[in-house]
Amino acid sequence: MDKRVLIWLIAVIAVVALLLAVTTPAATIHKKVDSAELIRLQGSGVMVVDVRTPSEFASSHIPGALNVPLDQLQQVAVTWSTDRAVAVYCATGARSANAAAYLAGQGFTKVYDLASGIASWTGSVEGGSGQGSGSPAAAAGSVKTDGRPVFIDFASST
Amino acid sequence: MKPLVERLAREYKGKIEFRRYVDSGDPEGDRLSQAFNVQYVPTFVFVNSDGSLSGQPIVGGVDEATLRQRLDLLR
Repeated sequence: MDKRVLIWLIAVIAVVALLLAVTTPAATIHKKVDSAELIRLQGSGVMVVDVRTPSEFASSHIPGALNVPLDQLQQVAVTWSTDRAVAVYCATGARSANAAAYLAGQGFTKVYDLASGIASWTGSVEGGSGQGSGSPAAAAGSVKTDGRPVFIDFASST
Repeated sequence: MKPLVERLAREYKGKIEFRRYVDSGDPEGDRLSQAFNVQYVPTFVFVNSDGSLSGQPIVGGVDEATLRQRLDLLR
C-alpha cells in the first residue's frame, strides 16, 4: 500500500475514534441503594445530599450530608461537577427519587438514591435527635429491657 | 399501621418485645414519649437488648419491608 494512503487511513481512523470518544456519553449509574451500600459509598467519597426541608434536616441527618431541599436542587446542582458521585435521600424515598432522576437527566453519571429514605438508614445520625443528652440515643438507654430487643410504637389509636 | 404492627408482634413473639403506647395516661409511655421527644404519631423506635438505639426512629407511616428490615437488625 502506498505510504501516503496508509498515513491518510491512520489519520481518518484517529479522527473517527476521537469523535466517538467525544460524542459517546459516559456510562451512567443511577441506582437505588440500601443503607449498607450507602455506608460503603461514603467510604469512597460520595457526596451525600439530603433533599428534605431544613427543619427535617435539623432534627436528624446522615453525618456529613449536605442539605439541599428538593426545590433548591436545580440552582445548587449547577455548581457541581457532573462526574461527581452523588447520593440523595429524603424521609421515605419519594423526593429523593425525583432528585436522582433530575440529576441523571442533567448528566450526572454516578447517582445513588437511598431506598426508603432515612427511615431505612441504620447508620449513625447527627442533629437534634442524634447522639448526646436528650437524644433518642440517650433515651434508649433508659428503656428497661428483659434481655430482648424492644420495638416501641408511639401510636395513634387506629 | 396497627394491623401490620400486631401481625409483626405475633411473628416476632419471644424474640422482640413489642410495646405500644397510645395517647397519654400511661406513666411509662409518657416518660418515654418525652425522652424520645415524640411529636408525631406514629413514631417507631428500635432499641437493642443492651439499651443502645438501633438506627433512626421512624416518624410517620412506613412500609412492611422497611419495618421488617429494621426489626431484623435488632440484636
